[in-house]
Amino acid sequence: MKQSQHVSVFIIDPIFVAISQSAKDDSKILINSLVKKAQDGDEAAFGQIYDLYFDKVYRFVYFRVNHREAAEDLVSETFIRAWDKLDRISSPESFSGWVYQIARNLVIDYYRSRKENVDIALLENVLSYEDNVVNRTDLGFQQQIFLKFLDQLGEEQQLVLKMKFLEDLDNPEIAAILNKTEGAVRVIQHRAIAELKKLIAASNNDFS
Amino acid sequence: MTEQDDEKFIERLFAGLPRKAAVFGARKEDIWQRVSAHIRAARAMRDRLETRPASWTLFGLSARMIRVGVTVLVVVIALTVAGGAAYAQPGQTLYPVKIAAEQVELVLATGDEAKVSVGIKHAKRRLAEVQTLVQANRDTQIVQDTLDALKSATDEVVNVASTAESNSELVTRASEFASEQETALSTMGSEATNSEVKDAVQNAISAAQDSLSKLEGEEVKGVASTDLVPTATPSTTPTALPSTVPVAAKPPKIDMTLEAGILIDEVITIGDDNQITPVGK
Repeated sequence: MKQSQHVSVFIIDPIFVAISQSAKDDSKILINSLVKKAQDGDEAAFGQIYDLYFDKVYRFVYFRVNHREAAEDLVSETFIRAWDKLDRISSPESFSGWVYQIARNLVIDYYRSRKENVDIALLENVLSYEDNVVNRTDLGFQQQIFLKFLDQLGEEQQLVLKMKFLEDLDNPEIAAILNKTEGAVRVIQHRAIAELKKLIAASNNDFS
Repeated sequence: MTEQDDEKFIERLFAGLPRKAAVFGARKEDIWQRVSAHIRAARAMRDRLETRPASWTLFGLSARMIRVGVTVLVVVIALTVAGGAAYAQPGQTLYPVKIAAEQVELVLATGDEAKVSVGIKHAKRRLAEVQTLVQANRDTQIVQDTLDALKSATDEVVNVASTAESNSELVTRASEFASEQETALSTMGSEATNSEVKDAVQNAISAAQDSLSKLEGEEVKGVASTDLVPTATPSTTPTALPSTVPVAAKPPKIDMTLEAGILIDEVITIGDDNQITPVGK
């Protein structure tokens, strides 16, 4: 069976998963420690937080405003607000989602100042072909099929998967951006992946 | 296949998709400079705010207590100045403040009784001022100006009292003041050494007498005539009123004709049904 072949190909090494999970845990511990220091006024600690989050926050903003200067302004404002209001977050664990909420609100304000009514959830524009539909024809056959299946998912499911796998956001961050609970995001993600797998299996295409 | 395996499978498929380029690495340091500049500015501001209370502490009082104290002091000074103005004499710096305060007091007085009370109070002040000025042998012009002010205040009292709805008590009070004024001015006139001042005071005495005559006329009329229909013509207006005293804004009552020596039958007729009809209608 095609499906079983896929399964055999994509079984993940448990040791790799364990290391990856361990690295994530270490990263969380580090971030929590840095946030606590920054809350006490440690600028160097906040600089380290900036180093850790800059790329992700910049990508998040840039892929939604599609303008370099505007993205730079919004990113700097995001970190400025984060510094100013750092004492408002109750626990360091919530920093990650909180900083994305700041960025999200600034993007909304950006469009509001331009008198444009947009749905922040629909602004995500990460893939190159999304700016130029013609580029989509350059994709490989397998990629085109996959995108076709992706398009068949619900809007919210697509968003969660793109944030998760294209923007490298974790569930608390996605939850903060979409104003949902982590549990709700997990459910959407689980159903979206199951749906995709079902579509892939039914297509008889080899995605290995 | 576990849930984690499924995730990795989909992640791999996504990884194969061409992502849009987002070149920003070079700008990372520049953007941090902006953030860092803000942090330093915010910190400097906070330090200033934290040190400010210490600089404002005076004799152990906090900035807030000092602010409250200054406010109280300003209010006390303002009240002192206003109080000082109450004793200001014509020609002094604070005298216009006193007059302005009196104007406000007059405007705020509601009702005829209040207006007469306030008017008499002001007129008495003018009278006392004239007395002080004459005794101090001050400049004629200042005495004249104050006498004019006294006359204006008295005229105002006479007007209000004579046109009030129930005016008997008010007319009596105004008359008492006019009489008091006449007596005081007569004394002043006899004491004055400057002939111009003497003349000015004498004119004021005449004005006071005119006011008194008008008020006495009001007292004679009584209140029973208020039921009568006013039909007075210019010829029926009492001639006793001096030209310097403004005629009351209220139309003269019908019984004023009695004072002018005109019979009531010449003015109105009373029918069998007790209906009052003006003559000639």
